[in-house]
Amino acid sequence: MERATTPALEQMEAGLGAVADDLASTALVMARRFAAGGTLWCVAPDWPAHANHLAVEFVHPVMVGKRALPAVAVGAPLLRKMRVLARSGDMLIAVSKGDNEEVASVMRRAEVWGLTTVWLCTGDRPAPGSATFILSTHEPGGAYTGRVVLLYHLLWELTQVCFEHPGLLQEPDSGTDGVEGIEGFCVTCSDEGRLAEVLDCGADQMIEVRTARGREMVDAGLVLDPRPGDLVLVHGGCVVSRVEGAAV
Amino acid sequence: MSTTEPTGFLYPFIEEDEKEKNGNDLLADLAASARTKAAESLRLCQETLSSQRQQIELAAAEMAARFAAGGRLFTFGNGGSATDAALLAEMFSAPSFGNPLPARSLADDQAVVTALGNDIGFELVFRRQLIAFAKNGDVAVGLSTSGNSDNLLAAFAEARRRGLLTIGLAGYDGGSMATSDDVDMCIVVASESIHRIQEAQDAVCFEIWKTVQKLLSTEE
Repeated sequence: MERATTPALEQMEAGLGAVADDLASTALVMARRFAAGGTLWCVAPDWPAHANHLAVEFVHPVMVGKRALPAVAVGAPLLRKMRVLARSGDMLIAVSKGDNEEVASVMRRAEVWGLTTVWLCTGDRPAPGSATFILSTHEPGGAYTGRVVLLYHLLWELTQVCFEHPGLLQEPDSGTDGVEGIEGFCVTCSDEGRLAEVLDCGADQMIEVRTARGREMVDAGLVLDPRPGDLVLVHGGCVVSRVEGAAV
Repeated sequence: MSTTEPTGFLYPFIEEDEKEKNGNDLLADLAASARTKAAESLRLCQETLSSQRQQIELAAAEMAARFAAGGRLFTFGNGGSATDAALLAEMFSAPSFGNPLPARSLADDQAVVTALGNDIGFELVFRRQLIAFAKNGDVAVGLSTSGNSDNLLAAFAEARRRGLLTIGLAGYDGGSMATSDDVDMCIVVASESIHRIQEAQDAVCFEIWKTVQKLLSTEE
């Protein structure tokens, strides 16, 4: 009949079934971050109400006896607010379309600051590596049909289940400062290549940058005109290249 | 490392293996639970859309008539339902396609909500706003999972007094909203899970919006 535009139930079930494994891994990592004192920052520039809904799920659980967890909705201007609010070990979750440039930018920087990032997106999936975890629904209008809400309801439920297994809440490996995906050491000097955001550059060749480890002074003699907000690659105490120019 | 097991130090690898195995078991359990709940949610959405079809079409037709005559939509709810009310208002006022229609959520303005909550009580935060804004011919849509929120019932009574069309979305058995004379039609999601109710209510809101759009575009 006039159901032609609504995806068939089986098709929707298959889509949600496929995301279930990713939801499980995301929930376990989030529970570990919460257990270690992390805060969940929630952003949704396309639909601010979703950021509010996500935060209230964690802060004021609908089920009696579930633990209240620190989650906060953050509005515009996202990047400037997140830069001062976020601490290494926190989490950032974004609900948006997969092609939202503002979200892509804040995700990239959040990983540099040492956050675990979760991108819950509709429409086209963002490029691999755009966030620590990408959870997507392709359903048209998914932000309004209840499908996006279902995904973050499930994320909340699964995170709460993890708290029933305190033995599994310890971070399995603390050797990388809690930064996923950054590994591989230089064979010559045994340092890593690490992403950093430029904080302050004076007249001096030494500039101050922020990495997942905190603030550091590094030598910027190899790059031309570094500016606050630039994303750079730091290796052996030197900036070796600029990855991305200063964002808003 | 566990400190409760006095001989644990003799078998550190066993403990690590055990932990890893349990971790994988947990992930498998979590994923299975997610699949079950997602299937439940999809079924409930579809069942609700079909069992409440008449109510949804009636609500959309009445709303379309009021919009066509210059009426406006006010939405309200508490907590997660407040965010669903915000999404509903946004769907109407700033749609990605179709006709934008005047709609707003009464929980949006933090100055108004906290002033009213602090000065006259939280049960009046929506009612007092309707006294200030609502006119005969407007529409009031309130979302609640229990169907029993005092501030929603107070708002519906005021809306009725002022000649608004009143539509309630509730869960469980509909609670007080289902039997209130102040609610013209109550669309009930027959579930006892707050999360599943909210997901199905979103689906209902989307269906209402689509139907209103269709009715208004064919009318022109």
